[in-house]
Amino acid sequence: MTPQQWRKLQDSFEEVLRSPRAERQFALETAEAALEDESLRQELRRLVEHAEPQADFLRPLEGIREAMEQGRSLEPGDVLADRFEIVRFIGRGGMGAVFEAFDRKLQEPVAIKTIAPEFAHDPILLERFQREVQLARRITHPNVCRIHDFGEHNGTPYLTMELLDGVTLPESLERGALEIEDWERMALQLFEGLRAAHEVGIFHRDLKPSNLMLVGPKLVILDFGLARPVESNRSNDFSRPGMILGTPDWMAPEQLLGEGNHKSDLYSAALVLVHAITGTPAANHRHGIAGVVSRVVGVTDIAEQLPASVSPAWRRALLSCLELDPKLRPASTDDVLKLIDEYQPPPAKPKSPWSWWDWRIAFGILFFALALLIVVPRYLVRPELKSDSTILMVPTMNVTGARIFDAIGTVMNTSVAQSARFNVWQPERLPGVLRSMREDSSAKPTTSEWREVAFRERAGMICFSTLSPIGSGFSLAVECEQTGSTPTSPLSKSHREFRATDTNGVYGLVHEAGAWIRSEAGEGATEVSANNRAPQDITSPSWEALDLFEQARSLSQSQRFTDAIPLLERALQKDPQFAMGLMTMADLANGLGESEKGFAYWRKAIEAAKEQRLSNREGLSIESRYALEIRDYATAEPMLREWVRSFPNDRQAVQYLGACLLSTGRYEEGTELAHAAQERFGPSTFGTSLLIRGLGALNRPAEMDEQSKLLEKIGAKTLALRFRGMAAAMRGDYERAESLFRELESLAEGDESSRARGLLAHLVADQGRLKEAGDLLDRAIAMDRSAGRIAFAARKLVAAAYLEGEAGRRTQAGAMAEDAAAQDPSPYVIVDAVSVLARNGYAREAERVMSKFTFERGPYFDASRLRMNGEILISRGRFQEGVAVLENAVRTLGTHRPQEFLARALDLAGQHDRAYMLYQRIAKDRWYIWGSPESVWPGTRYRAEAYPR
Amino acid sequence: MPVEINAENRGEVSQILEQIQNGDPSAEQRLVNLLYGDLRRMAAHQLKSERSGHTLQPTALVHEAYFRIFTGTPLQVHNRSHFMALAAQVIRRILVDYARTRTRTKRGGKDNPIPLSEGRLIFDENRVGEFLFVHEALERLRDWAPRQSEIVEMRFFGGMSEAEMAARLKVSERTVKRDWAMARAWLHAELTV
Repeated sequence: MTPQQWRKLQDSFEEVLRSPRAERQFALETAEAALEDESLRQELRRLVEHAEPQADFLRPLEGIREAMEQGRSLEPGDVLADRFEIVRFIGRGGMGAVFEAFDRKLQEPVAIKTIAPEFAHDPILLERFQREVQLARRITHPNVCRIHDFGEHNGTPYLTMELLDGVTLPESLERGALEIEDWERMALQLFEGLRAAHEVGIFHRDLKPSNLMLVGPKLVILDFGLARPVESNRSNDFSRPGMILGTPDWMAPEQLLGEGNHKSDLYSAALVLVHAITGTPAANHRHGIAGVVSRVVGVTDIAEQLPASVSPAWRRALLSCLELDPKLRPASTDDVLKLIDEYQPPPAKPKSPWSWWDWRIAFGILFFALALLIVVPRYLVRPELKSDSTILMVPTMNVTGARIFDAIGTVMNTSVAQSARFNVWQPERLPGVLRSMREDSSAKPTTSEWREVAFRERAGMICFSTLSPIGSGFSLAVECEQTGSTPTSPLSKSHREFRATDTNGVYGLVHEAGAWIRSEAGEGATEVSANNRAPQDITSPSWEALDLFEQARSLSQSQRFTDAIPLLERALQKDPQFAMGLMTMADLANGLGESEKGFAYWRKAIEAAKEQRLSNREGLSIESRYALEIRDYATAEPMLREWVRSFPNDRQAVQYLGACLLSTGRYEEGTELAHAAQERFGPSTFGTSLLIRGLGALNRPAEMDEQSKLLEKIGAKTLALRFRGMAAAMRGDYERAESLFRELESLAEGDESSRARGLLAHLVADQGRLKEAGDLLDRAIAMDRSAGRIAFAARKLVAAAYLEGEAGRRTQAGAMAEDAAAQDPSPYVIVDAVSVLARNGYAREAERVMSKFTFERGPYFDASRLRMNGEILISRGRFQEGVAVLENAVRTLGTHRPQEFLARALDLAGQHDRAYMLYQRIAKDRWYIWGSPESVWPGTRYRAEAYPR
Repeated sequence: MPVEINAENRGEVSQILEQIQNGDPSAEQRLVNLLYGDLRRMAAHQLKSERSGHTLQPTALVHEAYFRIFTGTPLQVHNRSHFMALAAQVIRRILVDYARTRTRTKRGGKDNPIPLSEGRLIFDENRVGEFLFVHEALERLRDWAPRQSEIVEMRFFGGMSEAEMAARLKVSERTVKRDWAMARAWLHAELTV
């Protein structure tokens, strides 16, 4: 191949690939014909064939990019926190890089240790890093490296610490073995440094040669990064059995079993000292896994390897520290140092080669070694719940006798739900789960049934709690269990009690308990405090309001919206700023089709939320959902993104963002997001529906069917039917679609069945059977009316009015439109009614109806006003002006979708070519109707198709 | 493990950097050679000295390369795409060495392979041979399409973005995109026989 040939080939290659897929073969043949040489033609065919390898082919080496980026994180001359100026790079530590810096404030050099990006995103490691500061700052000793502070620079966390100008032990050993005097001095300093740490309750857990630095004659212990207080007994600490931290080479045997304590440091220190004096590489020693194994199976003794220059006192001290059984080791560093100071001849000690400890350790090591082989060799096993786990909060038992505290469960739930890391299980799911467990789903679950619920729902943790009276105060007892492989075998249990002296203190109890539960689940202290508002602030300071709210919520869960509303109203009288109450009210009103009332409550809730009367999560949720509801996508999107960023495990956040993307025409992106959300959180009614809608928009009916099966599997049978019907209609299989919609109508109840009738009308209209569609709508309207579904009836009525108008019955159409607007003066009905009136020549009536449109500000509402004005202008024969206003309406809507009203106006204005193009777009878009059947005239696509060129 | 930068080396690095800035085309290659020698020694040292260092961490090598260039020298290479491209070359050479020794050992050779650390780099031990094929194919491609060969190197071994590669090659991003598509197709064809 010559460069010239290659360039020619590249031109042909690119030309072929530019052609649409369907025409590629043709393009290839054309391009081939232009090449003179058969070998080039062959090469072109081969290249085109391989033009689209899978995405990960030649993907950059993992970690490389990050490494390059990390190089960028700090460089000489950078100034951190306006204070520390980086002077030079020193080297790498276990978790990141170490730099020399100059502290401008104290005018002295310091060391800065950064945490590498691959760890900085790991909250557990980050917490370890912070722990390093908090704990190690308590040690003040010349033989321990002083740690100053913790900070963050451009997202890179760092520590500042004493700058040491020395060499590490391995580097020193490389230059030659230590003199015995130097070694002894070093050994004493090592134990003295350890003593200082142990005295304040910290042990190192990861002593190894590279953690020791020699600064002239002084030895300094580095990296108390894995230390923890000796006193800590928290069940969820790093020391939990099974946890192994540190470097196995230098670890004490019991650490391999996950049982380290301050005596493990003695073992490691002695091992390091033996290494330091013999100077031989680590692998030759009988320590670490290999060493302990060899010891257990009885090879030579360490004592034999120590040079003769080591004094009997040191010899004895080291060997006692190297006892496999920690009980046989010196009790403390003090005791070690005493052994050095007061030498006594060693007592003869008979030793069986296979003590109980030896057996235990042998198995432990075998187990550990297997674990190392099988599992990824990371020393850190996480005790925490996975980040997106669900916590099931069993409703708190209130045995105080005071009814007002019945709402404490809600307050607890809300409090824990602030977590950005975990999800709180939705109590609304209980009836469904119980139905799958037993016949009668009404009775309250027992404790063991709750465990089963947690198990079935794959919750990572379940928490029981009881509020009981103690004297004049209260006690809140909380028990948390991490779910295991069966409902009856929790992985761990922990328990704590909180007490308060009076009624007001109960909020404090919930606050404390919530934070405790989150930390039990594995959230770090900073993480907890970042999102931990007081329960009375995020719910209500009135227990009475809370109680009423609770009752209303349980009614609305059983679909008794109408009964729930008065209770909520009373709750809001008690506490008018009750944001959660206002929000629920807004939801209820919207659910009943009373969108105006809903919007009003929503606004009030947002106002209340501004007074910090919601948690961060709910604050973001309510504002962005409101923006979505009023179709102000430009406002909604940044808020949704913020919500997703702050609470990446919030299923709803991701789903609403997906919905926003789909609504603004970014079908690929929205569908991808919906897909990712489903992968991550599993199927759900809302999430899976969203995905199906995205697939619909992308015209992929086969996948819609596939996902519908998933919906059916999770119990959303009617919804699945609806989408399957839509998919069939999109494929053009109207017969199948009709039978599915009919099945839906007969199967579903209430709103869904009403929707099915609406869809049927669309389906026949889409085939041009407009008369039949009108009849279907009439029947559906009658049924909606008799069931009291006013809003549903009104929207169908206005659609029927449109069909009447199309059939030339103008008077009838106008009357029906006015009637619909009178029955339900909601924004959507008004816009449609005005449109029908205008189209049928009732401009004045249209204006009158339009005067009722006094709604929200926001792009959608502004666009609606423009649309109505435009249609009225058209109706008055002012075509050019009308078209201009309608074009402005489309712009304001910010949608890329073709709008039927504009196409119609263009036609009337004589701009047939443009009208034709718009109608063509509508005709070709099968999702045009099914994407939002409520806001499209029946038969629109059919009529668009029929529009002549 | 703190790194002591050899004073002699450091002088050499700054000298080369100066030459690069003065537009000496052969200086780049000298810098790569110098870094390569250094990093290879470092890798070997890392393997000998500590158990935890029994694996080679390519990311660590990148850090090292970075600091060798940017630390303590009077001159600063401000053009990062430049640095990344050089680092990519060094990384490629070290990994190719590794793959060679590794495949040789598999065939019964006695050379001590440099094991790659697990988890840091997805480098399936059993697929190390394939990786050599990438290298060899790139060498062939270089004969008639040197820029495309370099683009693959920068992207695969250096994780560079299109913008960075464009800056390095002083061509438009569109050209990089086009070259990448072509080179990728060709490599895919070569490697999936």
